[in-house]
Amino acid sequence: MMELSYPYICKIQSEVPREALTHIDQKILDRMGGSFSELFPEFSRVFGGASRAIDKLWSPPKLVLQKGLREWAAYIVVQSEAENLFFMLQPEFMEKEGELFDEDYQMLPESWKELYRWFNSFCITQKNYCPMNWWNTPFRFSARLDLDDFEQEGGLSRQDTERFVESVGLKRSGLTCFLLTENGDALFVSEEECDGRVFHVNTKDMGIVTEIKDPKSSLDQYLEHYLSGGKPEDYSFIG
Amino acid sequence: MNLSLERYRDIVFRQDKSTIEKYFQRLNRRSAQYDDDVRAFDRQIETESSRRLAGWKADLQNFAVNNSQDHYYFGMAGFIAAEFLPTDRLGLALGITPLPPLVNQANRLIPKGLFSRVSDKGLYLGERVFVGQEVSHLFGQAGAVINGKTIRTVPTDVSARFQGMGYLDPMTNTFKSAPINQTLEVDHIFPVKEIMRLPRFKKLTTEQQISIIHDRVDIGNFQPLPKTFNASKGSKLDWATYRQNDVNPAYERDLINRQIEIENSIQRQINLFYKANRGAK
Repeated sequence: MMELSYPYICKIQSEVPREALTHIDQKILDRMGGSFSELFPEFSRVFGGASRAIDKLWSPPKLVLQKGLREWAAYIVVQSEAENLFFMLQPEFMEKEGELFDEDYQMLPESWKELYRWFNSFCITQKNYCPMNWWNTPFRFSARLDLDDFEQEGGLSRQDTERFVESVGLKRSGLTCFLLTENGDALFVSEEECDGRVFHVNTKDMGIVTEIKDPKSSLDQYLEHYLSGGKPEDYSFIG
Repeated sequence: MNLSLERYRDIVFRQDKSTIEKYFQRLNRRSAQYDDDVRAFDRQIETESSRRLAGWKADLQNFAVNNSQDHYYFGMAGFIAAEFLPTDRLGLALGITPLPPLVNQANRLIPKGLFSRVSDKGLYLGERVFVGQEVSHLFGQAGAVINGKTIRTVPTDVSARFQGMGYLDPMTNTFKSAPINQTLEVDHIFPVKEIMRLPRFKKLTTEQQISIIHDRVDIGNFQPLPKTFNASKGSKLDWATYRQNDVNPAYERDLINRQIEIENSIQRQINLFYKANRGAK
């Protein structure tokens, strides 16, 4: 396993520097030393397949920390021989449940809120630190793409994205992509409707849009596949 | 005053109060002298002909260049500037009397009428004088739409504050002095596009949103960059290549660390605003 490029790498709570303790949720600290599923039980209940893959194929979780001038950046990382899987921890001051949390993520299907409750999504990387941008796993919350950005990122034309809008039958301004794979598979929600519906499209043909019937299972199965070493191109979101 | 980078870092990171105080005092003396010259120039420009203006500009330019060394070290990177500009947090936290802000002097000396007198030439008066720049370069910053209103993402006073400062060179990860006769652009380290997508940001009042984008809340989200680097970086978070060359790996990594820290600080501020708004209702 590669050496991680962080000044603090902690397997158990007693290894966490004292000055960092107040910047990390107590629940995370209390659960350190266990498996990934024990560390994030809410996520594991919803995304059971993905969690099993992590428990089985990746190293036990470590907490890595970087001290800034005012804030600490904290991640949970699990490792394979050649790759790291980083979970960017939410700051301790962010609500993890209740009215405010639900409002923040109201555009998502209920189950997908677990992608952002304790962490701000996650990524696989060959780097020894966590990057800011990635694909193949759900985006960081503020890195999600509106359709204009999606058009640009995907090298698409306005005509392409308008075909998508027409097929979905929703307002362009609310459509937001939360997952884009290297195979061009993209999952969209509507931030205006906030109705829990998820739409799949592939950048190769933006006119073919499929509503995902079970967003929880569909994403879990994809994540289990991908976190187990499968290629995005070998997974079909639409069966 | 010639301060080595190592010594500067030592001062910054150890927060050596006595050294900083001396440094501020020295800067204060220089600033007073400089301000006098700027005021004189200001008076003259109101009364004299444009023929003589070129000579004054050259004199003032020389003065600014000769005196920019102190300011250079204050402005080597955005976060350092935010911490060390005389009016800012660290100076106040350490109990140092803030200097008469140079920024305000600069603002006072950038009336629109002044620019109109030099027509297509830009004239910037602050810590440096810029001659031969197009006016649009001085204030040609990107915009953002906040609740239907288009705003400059970098306000003119912030742009002014960073002129003449050095910058952290992305290719070498070393500090470089400001290019002569070239306007530095001001980059949001954590991009505006992402700020606007943070939880609860859109629930803030327009004024609160703008104060965050303009960093009036003093997060330290601005850094000076030459135009060519700023254009390449754009709103990227993982900025790894510039003209097909790799950005210095240490710079790339440090940038990510800064971005995460700034993201967290901004989110903290958004939450404060949001909860205050809710409490006020």
